[in-house]
Amino acid sequence: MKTYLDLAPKYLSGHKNKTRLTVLSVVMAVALVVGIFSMLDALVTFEKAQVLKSEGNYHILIRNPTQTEIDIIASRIDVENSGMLKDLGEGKINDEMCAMGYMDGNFAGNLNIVLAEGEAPKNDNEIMLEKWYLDQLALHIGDTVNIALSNGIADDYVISGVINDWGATKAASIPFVFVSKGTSEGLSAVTSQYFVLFKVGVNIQNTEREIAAGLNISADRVGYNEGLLALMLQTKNNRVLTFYLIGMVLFGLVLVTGIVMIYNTFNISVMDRVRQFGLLRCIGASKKQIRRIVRRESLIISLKAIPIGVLGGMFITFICSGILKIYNPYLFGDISIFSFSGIGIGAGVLTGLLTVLIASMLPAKKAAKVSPVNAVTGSESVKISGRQKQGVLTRLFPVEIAMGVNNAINKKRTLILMTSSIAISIILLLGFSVLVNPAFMGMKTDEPYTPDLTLTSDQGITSELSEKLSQIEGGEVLGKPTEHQIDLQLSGKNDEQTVNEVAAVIDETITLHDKRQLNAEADNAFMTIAVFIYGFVAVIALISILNMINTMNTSIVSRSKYLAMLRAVGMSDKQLNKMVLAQSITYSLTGCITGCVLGVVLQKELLDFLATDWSFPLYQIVGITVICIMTGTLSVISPLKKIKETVISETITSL
Amino acid sequence: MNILSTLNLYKTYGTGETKVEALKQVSISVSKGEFVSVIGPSGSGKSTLLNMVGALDQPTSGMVTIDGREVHKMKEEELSVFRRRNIGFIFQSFNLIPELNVEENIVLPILLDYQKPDQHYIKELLGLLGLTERKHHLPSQLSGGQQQRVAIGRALATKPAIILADEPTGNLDSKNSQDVMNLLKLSVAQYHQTVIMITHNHSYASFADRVFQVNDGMVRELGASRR
Ligand SMILES: Nc1ncnc2c1ncn2[C@@H]1O[C@H](COP(=O)(O)OP(=O)(O)OP(=O)(O)O)[C@@H](O)[C@H]1O
Ligand SMILES: [Mg+2]
Repeated sequence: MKTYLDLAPKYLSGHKNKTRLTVLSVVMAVALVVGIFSMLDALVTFEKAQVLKSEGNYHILIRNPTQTEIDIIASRIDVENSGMLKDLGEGKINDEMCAMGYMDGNFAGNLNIVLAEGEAPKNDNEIMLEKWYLDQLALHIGDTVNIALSNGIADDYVISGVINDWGATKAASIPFVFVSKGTSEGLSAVTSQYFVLFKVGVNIQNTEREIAAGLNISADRVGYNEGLLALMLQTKNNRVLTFYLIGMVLFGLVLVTGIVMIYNTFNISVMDRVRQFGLLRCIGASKKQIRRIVRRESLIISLKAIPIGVLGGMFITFICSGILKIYNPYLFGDISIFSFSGIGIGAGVLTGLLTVLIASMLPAKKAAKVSPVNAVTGSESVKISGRQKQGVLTRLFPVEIAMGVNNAINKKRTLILMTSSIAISIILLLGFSVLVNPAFMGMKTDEPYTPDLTLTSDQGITSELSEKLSQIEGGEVLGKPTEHQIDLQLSGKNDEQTVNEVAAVIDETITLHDKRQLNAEADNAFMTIAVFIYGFVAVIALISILNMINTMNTSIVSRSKYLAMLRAVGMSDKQLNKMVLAQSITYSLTGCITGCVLGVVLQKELLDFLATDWSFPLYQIVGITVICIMTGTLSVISPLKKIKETVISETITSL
Repeated sequence: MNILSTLNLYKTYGTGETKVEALKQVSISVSKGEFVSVIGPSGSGKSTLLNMVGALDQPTSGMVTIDGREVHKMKEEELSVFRRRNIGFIFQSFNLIPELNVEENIVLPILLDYQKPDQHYIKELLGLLGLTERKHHLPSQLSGGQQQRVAIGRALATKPAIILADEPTGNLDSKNSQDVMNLLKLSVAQYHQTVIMITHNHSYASFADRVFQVNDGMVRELGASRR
């Protein structure tokens, strides 16, 4: 031993059991904070990927811009990239209906118009088509097609490039034809949109206002990529702002929960050492030195717990991201599950450290306040009071249950500690469940099933064909096929093959609508948020339960001397069980009641704030109560077993 | 020269019905190098007196002076330093830090003072206490007598001017008690320390240069027993 501070590691290694529980508790609090925050970070990443894919990578757009407006905006120093998309109305391709348009090549990628093969049309007789259409008609680059433009003039065009499929046009079975700039200028556009992407760090709201004012662009000509702006926290949308405010309240609550959990843990470890701190004061330790010893202990525990907690929190996020990636490799395939390490984890570690720091400050102060007299009197600062209550209780219950309840109620500090520990998790749970709300989860398609493929025909579908279709493996006919429409759902195995088989049995009179990509895109808005919100709730519930078990464990372990004494004076194992159980259930119930009352109030406030209807969350409350009682019961099993295994005399002399 | 004196010391615990006047109008003084014992019936206020003298607790009124300094006027931090350098405590229950071994328990007050333990002195102390063989043992691996000797070693570690002992032999058999008494006696002689010791055993009380009798919170000196 070199300095008095070595007392800290010596104490910790001298109480392995207790230290393990403390570390575990901090691990869970840190995992909660890191998990929730890195999940939030991942959610933003996924949402962004989704918005970029479904809406495009732009910030604002100007409808029907003049050339002057385009020139001025394009030359601005804060504009990263900009480009024009023109809707050139309907045309005909080989006598079939098609949509026609033009896109500036430099911005095509931002709107997910990605060249799969060949190049964008440069000459006036060149066009670009979607891949599915080429596949369907077995066309290739360099082939010639006949196209009638919206002005009625028909001509032969050469296919110069192929772009990746669009969900919407694929499902509608209407191909999109891109023409060259020259061709587009000869046609009158139905609408034209000028997309603008600003540079990183630009205040979009201000800049947009400046541009609109400078060029005298009316508000109805300006459009926003709301989803992207919301994720960049640059939105004016009130609903989104409300959502963020609620998010802030809830994530603030996560931090508070982390702090309370760790504070309670450190507090327990300090509270039953009053005598030791008194002794140290007697032999000359100053208050500052005691504070340092306790802080050193916290530091050692944190150094062990924070890395594990961070890994745990990352693992939770990893699972959520994994689910999303498996669910939609098309959208999220290029997001690495580990890619959000930077900010998310950094913030997690930082909040973890801060949480531990804040949470350990008060117990250290408390330990320093211990008077040296405590070493002499041996009092453990917990005063037993309320003998009257015990009288009432003993009349109501057998003595051991009365003792258990009494132990719980009379030890005010432990009671507050346990109650707050349990209650705050419940409050958090009830608060977060506000988010499990269709209004936030985007629009999920209402029907119980959505077809993957739809076959339509103007000339009618024969029953013979529908018979054939129903026999194809991997596909299932949905509902009652009508004369003009058959819906098919795919099993998910060998879908490509099934689609090919379906394509093989139908003739030209029948149009095959492949809706898979569109469905996936629509479902995603729902899925992404749902996975994370249920993830949040699951993580909070899981950690709350583990923490409750852990805290109960700690409270029993720290009273093992007292329990051994009771056994020594003749309490049977059965009575001991009942007593400890009564105590733990008392804690569960006080925590549960406090948590439910405050949680329901919070829930109601949040929903009122959202102007959403609130109804009493009966099922949630019943569920929480059941889980609380179950956890309270489960948590006493292992420490009781341990106590019974140790010889009575050993426990009594060991302290 | 007085190393320690009290003037009109009062200590009252509680209020109303539970009010206890543990010390009343206590004025005593002890000279440097004296061995003083305190006797009196249970609950008479002996431990309270020792706590006041050792500045473990605040008196209700009156003052305590050690080495010319009024202890209760000192600031918290100052008092801690003063205590660790000038006062050594020995309690009835041995009050060792269970996680530290014998040697570590003994040097702890030195470490708290940010000093390097004088190895030579510690070795001498361990020898004196008969704990050389046991210096790496934990308190739980020692007998009661050995534990009490460790506590004495700890009290002597910083060579404090005053040693305050509250029934140091209370938990020991007569052989061990005798050893402890001899040790205390020896340290007074060897390091020129002042000892104030509470005891229930009148024969140990007679070891002392002077004996204070506490009754119902009042302290009076019995006729000098040896001088
Ligand atoms: N913290 C306290 N609160 C209230 N009363 C106290 C407190 N400490 C001591 N007393 C009371 O003060 C009186 C003196 O107690 P003290 O401990 O000094 O007695 P003592 O002489 O040391 O007794 P013993 O020989 O049994 O150790 C007793 O009546 C005791 O009940
Ligand atoms: Mg006493």
